[in-house]
Amino acid sequence: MAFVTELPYRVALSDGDVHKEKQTWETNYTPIYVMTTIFAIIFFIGPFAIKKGENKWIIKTCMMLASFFLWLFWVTVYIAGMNPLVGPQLRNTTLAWMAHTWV
Amino acid sequence: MHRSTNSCLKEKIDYIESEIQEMTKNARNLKSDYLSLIELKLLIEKTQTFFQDHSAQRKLSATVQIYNNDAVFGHLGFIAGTVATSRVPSFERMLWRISHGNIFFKQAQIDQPLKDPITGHELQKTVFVVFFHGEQIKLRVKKVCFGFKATLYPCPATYKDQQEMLSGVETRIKDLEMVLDQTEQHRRLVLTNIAGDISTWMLAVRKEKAIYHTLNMFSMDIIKKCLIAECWVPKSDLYIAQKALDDGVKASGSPIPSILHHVPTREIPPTFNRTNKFTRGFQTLIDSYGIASYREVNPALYTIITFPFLFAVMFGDVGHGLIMTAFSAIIVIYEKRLSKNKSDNEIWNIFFAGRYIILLMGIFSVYTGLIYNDMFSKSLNLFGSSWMNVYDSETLANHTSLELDPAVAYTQTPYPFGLDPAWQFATNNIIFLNSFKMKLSIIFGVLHMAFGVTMSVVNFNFFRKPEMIYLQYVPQILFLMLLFWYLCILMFMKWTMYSATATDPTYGTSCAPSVLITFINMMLLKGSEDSPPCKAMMFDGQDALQKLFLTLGFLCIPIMLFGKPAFLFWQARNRKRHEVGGERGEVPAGAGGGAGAAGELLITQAIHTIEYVLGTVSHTASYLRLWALSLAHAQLSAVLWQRVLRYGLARSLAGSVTMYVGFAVWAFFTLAILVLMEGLSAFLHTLRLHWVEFMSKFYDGQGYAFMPFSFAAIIEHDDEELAQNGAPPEKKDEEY
Repeated sequence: MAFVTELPYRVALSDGDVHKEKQTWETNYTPIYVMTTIFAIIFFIGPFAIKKGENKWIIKTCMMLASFFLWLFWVTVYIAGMNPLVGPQLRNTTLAWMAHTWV
Repeated sequence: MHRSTNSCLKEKIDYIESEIQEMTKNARNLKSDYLSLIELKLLIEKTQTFFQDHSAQRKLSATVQIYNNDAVFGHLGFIAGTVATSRVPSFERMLWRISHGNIFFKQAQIDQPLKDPITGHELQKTVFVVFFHGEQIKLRVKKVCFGFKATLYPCPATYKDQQEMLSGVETRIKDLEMVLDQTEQHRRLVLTNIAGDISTWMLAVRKEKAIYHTLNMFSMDIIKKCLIAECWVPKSDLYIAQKALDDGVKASGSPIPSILHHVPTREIPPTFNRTNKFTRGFQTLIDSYGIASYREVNPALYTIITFPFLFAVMFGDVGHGLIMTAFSAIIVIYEKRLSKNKSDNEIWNIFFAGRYIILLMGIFSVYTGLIYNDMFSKSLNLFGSSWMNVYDSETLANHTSLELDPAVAYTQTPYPFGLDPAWQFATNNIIFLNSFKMKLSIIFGVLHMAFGVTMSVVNFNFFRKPEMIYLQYVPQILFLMLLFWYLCILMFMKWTMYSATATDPTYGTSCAPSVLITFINMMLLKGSEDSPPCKAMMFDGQDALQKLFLTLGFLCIPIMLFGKPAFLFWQARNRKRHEVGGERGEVPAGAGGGAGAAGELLITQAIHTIEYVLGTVSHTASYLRLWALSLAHAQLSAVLWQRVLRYGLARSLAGSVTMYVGFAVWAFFTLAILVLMEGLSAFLHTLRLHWVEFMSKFYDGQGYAFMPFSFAAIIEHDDEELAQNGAPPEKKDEEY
């Protein structure tokens, strides 16, 4: 099994269209803004939504803790994936299938 | 009202008891009569043969002697009866001895065993007839029979008399059998009637016993003729206790009211954490490690979220998480019905008691499963992968395996939610995941531990020891954060600064430094060389900054070591100085003991400091189990899919049978190994992380539980002693 990784600066698309040279992309920061906002709302504003109830402090604490940890988990995964230093090593069949089905 | 039903119950029970006792006695008498009749019948039947044999004896003697009212056969007297078969040989020997051989003994064993009325055992009996001549021998024989517990029966000699007696006996036997039957039926009826009420009565009796047991703990004041109870009552529930006392006074109609009086005490009260059905499970988890000291901060509140979260980091799989959620959701929805069946099965009881914990664990596992993008070892592509194929058909045809270069095959925007689905197919999956998950574990670990150390501030604030915040909390948190949170910062910097698309090779993929090596070099003060184009340091001034952090961190250690003892010593000295004109003998409590107490304090503080400092290193590393277990879970899941389920997929029609069997095997192992075993394992590790790594930073746990009087608790543990566990000396009783 040969593991030679070549880098022809061509993108093979499913319709056999080989028209681009090396493509560059810009990092899109939208997901960070969206997710952080969602979790920030739950963390900062959510506790004020719970006004009555015998268990209100428990609920408030749980909301804040949960939103913080879940956001932290998500943001760590996101930042870790922002600048990957290695890429996945895939089989040729998988690559072909990816090119065909995943747009 | 309550009292009258109680006395009714007592009378009722007494009445039923005497009735059943009488019935049993009667039945026993009847049964012994029955036994005698049966024996008599058998005796008559068997002895018929004896008497026939001896008809020849009549010719022997000339004189016929008549004995008054005694059994006479020819001129021989006889005695007939039954004796236990086991005693026959010794019985015969004894008779022979006392009569000097002048008796004639005939025996015949009764084949069927007879039932003893008292014990219910079966007896083997033998019918015997003793022939003798003379009054003296008769007396002696009777004595021997009495000694051997032989039952004697009047047996007629002539055949005609025997037959008459036999028919009479048989009629009596029939009558007696009928009576016995009826007695038995009646007894059964009475017992069945009370059988339904027995459990209620037992409950009432147990409750009453518990009440009297508690009443025993009251002390009696003879002068004032009243009972005094000393107990702990939660402050916010004092009005409930007062109301209960008032209600009791009203119900009993007593003119004298009960008094609730607050008694000041120096004793340490029990710890009472009010829980509802949801928080009870988490509180139990914390209490298993140790009951919190009185009024200490309760970590159970935060455990509600951190426990399921850390579990989920180790368990992360959407499919298995869904299974857990579904299972626990069903239990929670039907909890009212399920709680009514009291089960002895301990495993079920544990699952039921922890249903909310499992529910939360399941929900968080679904979330972390979505982030790890792992569902039964398959990934979900919901938002479009960020990796794409850059090779043309020719390259693909010639190479079996190709690696995607992040510089060209990556869209530079990560998958919006979690790990990219392309990684699940990658053969070098583990290389990326290892590095990432280890860093993740350390980040969570440092945060969790920092949270734990900060909990001690809550304690210091509540117990009004603000100086401890500066002497203990600040150095501890500085030591932890300056060293280990700096490590986490380095991780984030490496992730953001080094990229495959960097134009400057210093920040390219081949120059990315190992964070671990950097950290170790920092601790060991080892400089490293630049190897162009790569730089040893990530940013300018890193070396100086690291040295500064290290110095500050290690300066915290003597503060931790000597801060508290120095403060207490200074405080004691101040107190002594303010005592003007105090007597020599009067020594203030704090400075008492002098050098001894100070030495002990220093040693305790030294132990705590060493424990904390070494703990930061070892506990941080301990959090790597978050990585280890999630790796194990993912690998097991992948193995199960590839080696079991895959063989049933994409086959011909006959493959449907393989699929059927394969799915059964796959489902079984998924449930048994991945959900149950891995779930239990992750649960245990999370528990350890909480108990050791989190709670050792602030938890005292020297309290004892508040155990109020509760009928429910008593009925549940009905075979255990009523003594309250964990209570201080016997006098104190908890009353609700």
